[in-house]
Amino acid sequence: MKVTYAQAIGDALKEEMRRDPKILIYGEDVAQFGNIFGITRGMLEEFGPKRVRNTPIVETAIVSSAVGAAMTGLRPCVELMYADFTMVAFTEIFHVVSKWRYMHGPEYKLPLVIRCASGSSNGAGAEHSNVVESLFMHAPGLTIITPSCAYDAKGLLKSAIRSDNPVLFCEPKQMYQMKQEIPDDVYGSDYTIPIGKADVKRPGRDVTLIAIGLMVPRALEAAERLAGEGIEVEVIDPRTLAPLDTETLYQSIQKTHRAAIVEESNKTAGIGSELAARIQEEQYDELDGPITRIAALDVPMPYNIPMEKYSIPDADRICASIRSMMV
Amino acid sequence: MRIDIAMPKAGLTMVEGTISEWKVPEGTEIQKGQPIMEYENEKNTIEYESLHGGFLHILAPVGETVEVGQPIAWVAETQEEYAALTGGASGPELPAAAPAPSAAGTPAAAPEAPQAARRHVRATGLARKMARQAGIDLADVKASSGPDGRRIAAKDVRAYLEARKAAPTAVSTVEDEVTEIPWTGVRKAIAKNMYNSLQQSAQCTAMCEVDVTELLELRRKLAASEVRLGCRITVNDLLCMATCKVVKNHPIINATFDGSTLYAHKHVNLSLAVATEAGLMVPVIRNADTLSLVELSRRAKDLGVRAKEKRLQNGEQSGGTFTISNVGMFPIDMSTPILNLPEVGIFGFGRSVKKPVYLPDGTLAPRDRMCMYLTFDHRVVDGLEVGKVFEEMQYLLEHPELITV
Repeated sequence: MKVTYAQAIGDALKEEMRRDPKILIYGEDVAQFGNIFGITRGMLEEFGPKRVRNTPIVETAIVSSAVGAAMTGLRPCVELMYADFTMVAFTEIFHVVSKWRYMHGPEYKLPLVIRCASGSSNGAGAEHSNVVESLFMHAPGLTIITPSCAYDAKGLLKSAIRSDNPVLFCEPKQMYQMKQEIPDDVYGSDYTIPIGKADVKRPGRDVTLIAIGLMVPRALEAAERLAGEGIEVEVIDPRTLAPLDTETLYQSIQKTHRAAIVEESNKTAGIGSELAARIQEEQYDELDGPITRIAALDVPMPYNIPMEKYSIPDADRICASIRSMMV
Repeated sequence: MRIDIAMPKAGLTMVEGTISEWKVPEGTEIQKGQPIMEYENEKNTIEYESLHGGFLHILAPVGETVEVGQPIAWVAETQEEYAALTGGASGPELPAAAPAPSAAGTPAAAPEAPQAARRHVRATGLARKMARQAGIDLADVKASSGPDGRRIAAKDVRAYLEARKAAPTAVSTVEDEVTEIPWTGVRKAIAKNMYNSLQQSAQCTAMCEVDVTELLELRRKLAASEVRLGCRITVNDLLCMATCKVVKNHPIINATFDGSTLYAHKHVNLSLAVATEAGLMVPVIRNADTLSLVELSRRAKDLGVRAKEKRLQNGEQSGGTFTISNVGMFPIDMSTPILNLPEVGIFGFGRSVKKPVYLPDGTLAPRDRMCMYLTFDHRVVDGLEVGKVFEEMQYLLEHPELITV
């Protein structure tokens, strides 16, 4: 069947809530309205108002109440709508969510998932288009997941909900309507995808291109084009940014000897910055050229749509960057 | 204060230069205006006079090609600063003439300077690992990677290893010795120009043997008047003058062609092919057709000497409209010269040889004969025009008294 990314997330939530009555969801407009992207539509009717709740527009309270709920036995999966609003709850996520398991000892678990819709979406502007993973990669203790297709989204969200550690789950907005063909029996098989495992989306021998979220389909498009020029790009999706599956990345680099990272967030102090630093520290002897970071321009995201598109890497820019690595 | 010295830009088209000589050693105190270095660009070897005084630290060694504007050295204001900046390894032998250090401090006992600091080899991590495993010195590997082609990457190490592997298979009792000669500066430019010339034009060479008995006789007389004239006239001077006289009458030969437009020049800017140790130089005598024989002789001699001494100014090798190449001093009768684009003609003159010749009255006599040959761009010039040029040239050389009138 053809499944959209949004549908896969909704199905993961429903299947998990049917499986475990301790799971509840809440956030802004998730109940009657069914989330602004329609993801939780019909869930209020199926699971009732105790497990599917609307909240006031107070992100701080959404997250801190979820911490309390998680530490006292429930398994909340809350939603912050746009990823930008994580900033309103920054203290809670950065200090409380990420650190409290460590600070309070092994008897306290923190089975909490914070979902958010991230990245650009046709003119949402500078305050509603951010990609926030790199901010929270700086907070040890948090699991950070960004799936790049419907299949991964479903399997990873289920793993996130089942995890006893807190998870920040980022969903690139532009992916919600992307469709993927998944065999019915697989889709309905209650499969999960392990946290901390990268996926080789396309094998290649010349360059390792590490792509995250929305950049994965663009990286694959670029790889397809570059193959026509004789450049074989290996596209790897880390899927989980924390903990990071360096083993898969390094195995690829030991084969290709060239590494590039493409992400939707700004270049400076972005995900690519951290990955590039780690790769050069640990794989220096395997690199046959500088690591290339392909990222959004260091500008507040323009709301003007052509300028927005220009700010974010597309297949053309990825191709040009990879070509320049082949000298 | 440390002041950087950058590779200078001589001429609009210069993008990089190769250091051919450091005239002063590392650590010397240099004066503002002192010639400290010589570098080659595509056309020339140029002396560099320092714009700053101070204690010199060399960054780019001889043979290194450096982009215009990139640092090649720096100067420090004081000896102490020099020592601090070079990491304490104070400069080598102070020049004897250097002023004594101020009374305040006793001269620092210069530690044994570990000189010959190894040049940094630019290589990727993988290339270094491969070199380590193969037990080779990366300094021996030719770089061809990176945006500027000067970084050693894995493929360069592989190429080196493969070449090394291939080499010993040639069974030979005599051990071969291969030296890599840097392909830089003037040589590189000559190669490019020659190759481009042959690729980009339709070159055809015509040849004719002329009687130069009278010409040599005239030259002997002129040479005998050396003191009176103030210079020693050579056969080459007479050939130059004759060439100017003839090509001036042929606007499509005293011309330049850029592939789409043909430019006829009123005056002859005569390019002289000068053989030097560094390679072929082609200085230009401007408005050569307006000069007297003595003026022409002086200019040709001046340019020839300065070309050999690598002292040509920037611009003295461009703007020619016609070239002459005289190989009369060698046992060469003729060659097929390559056009000096965008010019459309180059005259060559071989050696003169005494030969038995039938005179108009049917008697045999020993005469001095010389080949002259013209390579022309057949896109521009046809045989008819070339025929006329040869006719006039032959007449002039066989009636040399007309050359100077």
